Amino acid sequence: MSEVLRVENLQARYGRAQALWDIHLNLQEGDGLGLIGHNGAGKSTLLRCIAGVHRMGMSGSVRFGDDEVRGQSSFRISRKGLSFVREGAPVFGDMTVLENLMLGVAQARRRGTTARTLSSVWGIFPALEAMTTRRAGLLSGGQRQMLATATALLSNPTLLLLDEPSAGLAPEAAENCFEAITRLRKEGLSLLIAEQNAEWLDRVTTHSIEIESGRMITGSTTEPKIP
Amino acid sequence: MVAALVPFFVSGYRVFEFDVILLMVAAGCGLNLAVGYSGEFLLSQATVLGVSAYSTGILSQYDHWSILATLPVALGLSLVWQLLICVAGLRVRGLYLGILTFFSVLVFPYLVYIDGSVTGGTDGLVGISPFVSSGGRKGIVIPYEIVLGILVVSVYLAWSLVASGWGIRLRYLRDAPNALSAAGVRVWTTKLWVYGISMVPAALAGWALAYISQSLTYEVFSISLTLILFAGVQLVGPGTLVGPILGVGILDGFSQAVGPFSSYNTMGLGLLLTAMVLLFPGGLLRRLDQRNALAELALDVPVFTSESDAAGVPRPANAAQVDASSEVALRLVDVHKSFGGNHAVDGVSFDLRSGRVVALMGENGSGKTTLVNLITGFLKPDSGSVWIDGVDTTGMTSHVVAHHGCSRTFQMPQIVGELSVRENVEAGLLRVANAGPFTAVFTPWRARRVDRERRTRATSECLRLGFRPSDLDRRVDALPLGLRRLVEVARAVATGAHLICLDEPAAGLDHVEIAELGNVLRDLSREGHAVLLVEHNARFVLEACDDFILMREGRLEGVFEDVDESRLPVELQRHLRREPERA
Repeated sequence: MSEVLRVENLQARYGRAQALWDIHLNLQEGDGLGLIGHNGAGKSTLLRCIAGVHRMGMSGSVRFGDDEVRGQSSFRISRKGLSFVREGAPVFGDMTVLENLMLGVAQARRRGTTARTLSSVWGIFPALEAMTTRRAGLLSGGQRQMLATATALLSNPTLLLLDEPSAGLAPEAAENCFEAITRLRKEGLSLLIAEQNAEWLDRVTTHSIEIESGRMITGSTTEPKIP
Repeated sequence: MVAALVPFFVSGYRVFEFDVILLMVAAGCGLNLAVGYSGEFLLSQATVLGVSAYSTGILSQYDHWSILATLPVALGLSLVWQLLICVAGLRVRGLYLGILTFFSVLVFPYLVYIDGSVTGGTDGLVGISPFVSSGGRKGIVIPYEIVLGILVVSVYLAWSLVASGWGIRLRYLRDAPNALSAAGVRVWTTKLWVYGISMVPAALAGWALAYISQSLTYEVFSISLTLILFAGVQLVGPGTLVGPILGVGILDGFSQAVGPFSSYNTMGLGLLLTAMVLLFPGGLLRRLDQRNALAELALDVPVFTSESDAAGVPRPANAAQVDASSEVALRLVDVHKSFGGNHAVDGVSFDLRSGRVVALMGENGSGKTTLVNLITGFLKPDSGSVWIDGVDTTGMTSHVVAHHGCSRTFQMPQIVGELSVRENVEAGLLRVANAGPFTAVFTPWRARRVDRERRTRATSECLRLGFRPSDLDRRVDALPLGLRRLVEVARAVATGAHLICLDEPAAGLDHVEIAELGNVLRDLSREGHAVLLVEHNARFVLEACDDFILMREGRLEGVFEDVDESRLPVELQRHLRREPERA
């Protein structure tokens, strides 16, 4: 098992005020770490910091694989094999479903890995297969969420960051999605996920940390091994 | 204050230049109402100035009208011109409106050419004398105080409107017109007011400009001036009161300093603009403001810290229980809607009674949101009919449906990020509690009274939904997505609508917030409201809802009344992925 992500002493600010204090966590290959906490506690900010979407006033260290990625822009980090599905799942509305999915394939190709096959995605989200030629802007909220998650999975990431993936998904779709993610995690995908629905969260994670007002209050990440 | 002292230090042509700058700043304040606050891309402001100036000049020079007689005519003609140019804005927005209104700038010189004998054509209209009728004071230019007065009036006009409920209404027009319509406020009337009011300062400025310059050429009202006004508003602080004063002041100041007709004018303006955009993308003030807003965000206090805290929120006393359970709040009769070949809603009929909380469930893409859009008037059904409280609302537009007592929330929250929680909720009350624009401007104390009433009602609505008093003044763009949904729920409830449609309000809420939302829905149903809830969260719907409607591929799969969690119908068990109860 190799270490995929190590966050040490991470601080983040918005302007003058601090949003995250002393975040420590690490993720081994195949780990699923859940972020728990109230709305506004800083879960999304933490995910955004790791993915390089938020870079203002960050200090500390974010190691992804063997590289220090703190301060790098999101597209560089994603090329290293990190996929991030943001809250509200934005997709490219003017492009078709298939074209959106192809972005995931292109991302994998760019990294020199093989993308997952479309048929594996149809297995997870059968609803998408029937609408490949539809403009993504016409999809319903839940279908958009599926599309964004599917695009991220296609790029075959080593680390997947999900922010509220169950929002808008019908129970059956959510179940399919979480089952698939659990399966992929057992195959070695690492997962960092913020999710309000505890029922779903328990199914996919191996452990979790709780964040309140920007600080970790309880945590059970894998302890760093002392040589 | 500083501006008022300037004539004591400078004289002659400098005073004239300064007058022009002040007039342009005034016009900029008006334009800011349209561009900055309301998001209507009007590029025609320079030609409004032109129309006003030319009509004043012509009447004064040829017909020897007095300075006071020309004013109403200049205002009237400017209004006609403005409406003529902007009427397309009722149908299009953004860049399209920009392109259309820009044509007026291109056309304006030709209008001047057409009747050169009256307008002076390319030679310009010269010798406009302001005080012909007052006798003996021929040739005296319009006093500096009037120019200053116009500036003060323009700033006051913008301030008095924005300080009233119109500030909320205009910003909603810019950021969330659908929500405005859902709150029962007519979007196109709002636009017409914006066009009408934003032109007033420009018309006043044009009128004064004709007198102070005593001669007019069409070149004054050309692309340069359009650029100065539009960029001046947009660059420093669109949607702030100070923004246009600084922006237009700087740009027009530069223009006057190098000389408006100098060949370096446009070049220099271009460079200045490039520099400003590079240094302050999105506006100088917005950048400063954002620092503050984001600083607020980072305070990140959870809205509910614990269960007990949520329970400790003071709640307004419930209205007397209404026994209206037999009344039909919503009736759908064989409603169809398809997009292209896709039958999104395919023959749906059901009744929704008052005092019930009903869950509308189904797979993703089964037509739930489309159905809500059909009910609330955002879409028109292909066939079938929709009845709200016994009134056939089929085919009515959304704001009319809102008048008949129906409000809604949106899947992606339609709220204005720069407004506070309370102000966003106030938007739901704009239809019933907002002063008219004339009241807001001419009798601001009356407008304030209405504002206070609206604010009080919005506050109690927020508290009822579990927002803490300290959160009410936080900007909503500093809130996480889940809580923004809750702001929308509060706004929908605040409208006082009888039928409330909520589109996935619980997505992204934690269990404490969900429990609070559930309580609110219970209260609403006790008060006699009917609630239609599109939701996937199984726990939430089982606790909060009385009846369930299940959709599949645009059709009704089943309607289940008085559902008890321990005896869940098999279809619902399947949908909610609940294990059958152990016997």
